[in-house]
Amino acid sequence: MSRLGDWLEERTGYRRALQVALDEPVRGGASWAYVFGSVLTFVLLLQAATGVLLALYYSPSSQTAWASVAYIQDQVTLGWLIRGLHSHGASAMVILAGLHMLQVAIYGAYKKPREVNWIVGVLMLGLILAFALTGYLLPWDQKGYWATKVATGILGSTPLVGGWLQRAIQGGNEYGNLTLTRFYAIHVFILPALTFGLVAVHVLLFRKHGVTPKWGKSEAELDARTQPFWPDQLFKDMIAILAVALALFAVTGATKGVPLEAPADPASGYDARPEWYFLPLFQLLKYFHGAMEQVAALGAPLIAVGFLLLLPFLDRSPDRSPARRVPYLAVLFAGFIGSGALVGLAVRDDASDPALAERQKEAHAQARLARTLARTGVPAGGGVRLYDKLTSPGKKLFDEHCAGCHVGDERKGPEIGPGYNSRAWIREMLLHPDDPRFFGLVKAVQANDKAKMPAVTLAGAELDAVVEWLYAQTGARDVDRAMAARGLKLIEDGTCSDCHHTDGESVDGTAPNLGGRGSRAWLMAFVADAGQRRFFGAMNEMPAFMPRFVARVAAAHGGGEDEDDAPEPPDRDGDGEKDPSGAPLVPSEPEVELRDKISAAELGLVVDYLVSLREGAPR
Amino acid sequence: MGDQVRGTSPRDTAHASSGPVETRRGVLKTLNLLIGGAIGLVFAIPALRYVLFPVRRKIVSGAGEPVPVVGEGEVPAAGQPPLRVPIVAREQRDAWAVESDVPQGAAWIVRGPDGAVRALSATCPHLGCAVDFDAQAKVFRCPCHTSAFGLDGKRLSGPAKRDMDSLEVEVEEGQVRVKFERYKLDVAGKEKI
Repeated sequence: MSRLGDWLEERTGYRRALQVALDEPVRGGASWAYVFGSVLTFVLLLQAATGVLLALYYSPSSQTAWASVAYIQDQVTLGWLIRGLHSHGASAMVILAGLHMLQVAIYGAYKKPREVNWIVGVLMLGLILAFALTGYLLPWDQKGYWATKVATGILGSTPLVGGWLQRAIQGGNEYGNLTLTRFYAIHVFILPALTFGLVAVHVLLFRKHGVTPKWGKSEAELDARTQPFWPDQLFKDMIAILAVALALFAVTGATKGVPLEAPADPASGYDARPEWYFLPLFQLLKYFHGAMEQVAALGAPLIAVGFLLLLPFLDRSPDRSPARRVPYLAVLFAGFIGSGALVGLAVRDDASDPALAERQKEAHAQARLARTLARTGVPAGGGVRLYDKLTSPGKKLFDEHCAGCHVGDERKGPEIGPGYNSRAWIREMLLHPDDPRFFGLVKAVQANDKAKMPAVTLAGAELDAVVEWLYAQTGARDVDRAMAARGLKLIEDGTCSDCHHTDGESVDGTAPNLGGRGSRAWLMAFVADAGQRRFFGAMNEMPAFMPRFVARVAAAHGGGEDEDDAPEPPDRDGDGEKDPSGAPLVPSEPEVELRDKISAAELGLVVDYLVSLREGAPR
Repeated sequence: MGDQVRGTSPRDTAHASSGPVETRRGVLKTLNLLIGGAIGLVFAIPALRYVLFPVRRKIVSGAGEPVPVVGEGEVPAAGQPPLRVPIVAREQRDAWAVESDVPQGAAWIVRGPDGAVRALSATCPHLGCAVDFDAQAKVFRCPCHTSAFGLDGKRLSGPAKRDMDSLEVEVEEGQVRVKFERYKLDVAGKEKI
């Protein structure tokens, strides 16, 4: 091992390099106050590592971004953990950078000759926030989409160059694929390159000037208590790193990672809230209106950054004792406390808004639904197309086979849509049977006055009763039985029964038998073949969708509906024998010609859909 | 590493000459390495499981069922140049996505001397290039490494280690249906992937 080390040392000088890297004298001794830089470096590396891991599965486009993040979150082994660590790690970066900045400010470490290192630090704080802002959009969920829209909107309100700047950042006039590819490139290439470059400068400058020990100590005192970075300071750093790492894992574990909201839907509303570290600005915007809004949105961050950048040049006395620098530290602390207060106010505002809580609850339910649907694959159109999966298979079949004639202006038969076979629909149909909504478009009706159904002339309670009886036939449960019975009597005693039977069986009427009309069984038989004699018979114009089903039902019922009055099935052999099973022979000839357009299962699904229309607007 | 890199700055050695300080630093070095290693491990194990997620899973899954490619009447007669058909899965899962009508690969449809319809995967069993048909020589040729196969898919020459891969064929209601499969490349045996 040692010989291998010597071999390597001779060729690379790695020991010397490690020695230079680690053997740094810490004047005044190792201190807990100095841990923040190392901890930030650790979290930065963790962000880089988890970021690379996320990039293994993430796909930046408006069709795939949400889908790939949902895949990471819900399907990839421990994906939720990696994503949670990355997101909570971003929060940790902001907190630790704030603490680091406070420590440096209290120790007066920004003073001559370390001004440039302070400025580099302020710039890196800006980079951390830029990381957070760009990363927030990448999942392309409702939260990231709407919150980032606000951020780019603020950018767009910049005087003179705003519109241009906004289009440059979001890659065009609207949010879309180019917004994601841009934010992704900025987040994973540009910002990391800048950050690691500035970290290198920051560390080199730090090594050039050394630590800034606590104020009020003499040179001799400091020299007497000097300790090496390795292992003394690094041990304290390591303990702090361990604490932060444990906290990150604990928070991520306890929260089960970070939420993923429903896929971005520009057509929906959403209560956009930024990540907590942007809440001060978010809250501030509530207090400024009109022209002042832009001043606040752009001015407040500018003032804060300006103060930070200028701090080493404002506070120029060599005395680092905080007691002598009260005004500067007061402004800094006021900034921190003020930001904290604004965060508190923003949280309180939201917590005391029950309507918001209700909307957020709905949004979370939507997110759960979308993520459940995503488990069986996201359609090529992206996350928002997931909801198409909710369209019932019956509706899809209806759209495919029935809508051509029953929906829209090109239709050839009665309109079928929400409310079909409801009381209101039945009433309208009775009063205006020749309306295009009902039988007005049927060719036989147009051509032949005899085929027309006369409009019902009843009114008031009598009409109500007839409607109630017809409504009862659909199998609906909310029926007034007594009223329906009065309706039946009116039908049987009046002119309706000149053409219509009401028993559901007789086939010798000149118009459809009304018994069971609109029920599940009736609809099955009707869609299967509306030309059956108990329906439209010779007047029928609707294709038979499952003629074999009719034949099969007929067989199962021992001869079918034509049993009573139709001739016995033809005895082709002429030998007078019946089927060995005892049931009458079902004619075999038509079966050869009959071709079902849909299967029995599909017929059932279509009828489910038709029945559901009675209740209103189904999916 | 711990015992090779020592604090050797002049000030440090001046203060660390006494035994107890040396011992204390030795302990600190060991603890540093232990804690650092532990943090690394705690992160590396889930990271590794996360990275290896796709290794033992079918991330891209085609229909896995025979898909109609051509009408039986359109299949050329025995000895005639074969027909190249794309094999399009009705539905394909690909990681997070589910897509309709996704091309899986292609097949050559031939009729054997016995009249039976056969399908040969257009994927060369050598290294996976798309096999062409040379109409003049009446052989299948791979454009990459010049493997050649007979009309029946039998290996004639070139680096391929086996015949062209035949695919499962069904003829139903006048439709030729082919079930597309991928096989391990560059081995003598036909092994499903």
